[in-house]
Amino acid sequence: MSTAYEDDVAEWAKEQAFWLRSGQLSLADSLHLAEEIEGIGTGAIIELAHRCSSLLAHLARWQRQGGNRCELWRQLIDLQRQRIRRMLKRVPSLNSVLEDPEFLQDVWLDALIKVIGENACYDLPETSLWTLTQALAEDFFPE
Amino acid sequence: MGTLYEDDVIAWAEQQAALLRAGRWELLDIDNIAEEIEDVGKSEKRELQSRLTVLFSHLLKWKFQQTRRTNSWRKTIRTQRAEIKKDIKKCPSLKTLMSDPAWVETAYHRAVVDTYAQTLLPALPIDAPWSVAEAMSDEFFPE
Repeated sequence: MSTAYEDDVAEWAKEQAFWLRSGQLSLADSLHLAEEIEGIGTGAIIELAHRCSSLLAHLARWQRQGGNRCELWRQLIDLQRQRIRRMLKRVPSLNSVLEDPEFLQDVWLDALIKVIGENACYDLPETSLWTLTQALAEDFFPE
Repeated sequence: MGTLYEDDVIAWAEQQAALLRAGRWELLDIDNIAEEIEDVGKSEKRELQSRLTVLFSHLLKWKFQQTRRTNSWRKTIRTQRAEIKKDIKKCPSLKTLMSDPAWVETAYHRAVVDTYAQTLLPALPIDAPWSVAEAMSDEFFPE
C-alpha cells in the first residue's frame, strides 16, 4: 500500500524515492512527482527576487541620497551584482526571469518597501526607474 | 560538458516534469529525481522543529518571567500548540519525530539559545523541565 500525496507528503516522498531507486516505476505517482519537480525552480527565483530588490534599493539610494555616497555603498552594489551574476551563470534559465516585466514590478515594489521611509525616497515612482539589465551593468551608477 | 541537472537545474526540472507527465520513464533522470524527492519531506520536518522551538521558548518565558504572564501570552502559547497539531494532522508521519528524544532535545536547546538572546535570563535549564506531552497539553503552563 502506498501513502497518498494528500495524506502525508513526507511519507509519500520517502516511498516515492524508494520506488524510483528500486526500479518499481509502475508504483510511482508521476503527476505529483511532476508537480514537486517543477517546484524546484521556485526557491531559486525567490532568492533572485530578494537579491534584485536589494540591488534596486541600493541604486535608488545612490541616486536620491547623493550626499551620502561612499565607497561602502559602491562596494555593496558591486557585490550584489557579482552574486546575481554567479546565480545566473549556475542556472542560466533565470535569465528569462530577469526579462519578465512582472518580475521587475515585483522586485521594484519590494525595493520601494525597503527605502520609502528614507531621506528623499518618498516620491519614487511606482514602476521601476531601471530595467534589471541596466541595474546589473557593472558601471551603472545612476546620477 | 556536465548534465542538464548540473548546468541548469530549472531547465532540468521543466524537462523532467514534462517527461513524467508523458509517462516517458525510459528517458527520465531517475537518480536525480529520487534525490530531489527525498528533500520534499524535509521542509515539513524543519517547520515542525522550528514551531516546537518557538513553543519551548514561549514556555521558558512563561516559567521564568512571572511578571509577563498575561492572558494574551497564554493565548500565544495555545495558538502555537494548535499550529503544531495542525502540522501533524497534515503529515501524520511527523508524529514519530515528536517521540524522538534527540530531535526534541535539539528543539529545546535552540529554544534556550533564542530565549537567552531575547531576554538575557540567566540560568535557563540545560535539560527541558517538561516532557513533549506536557508541553503540548492544553492546560500546561509551567510554574
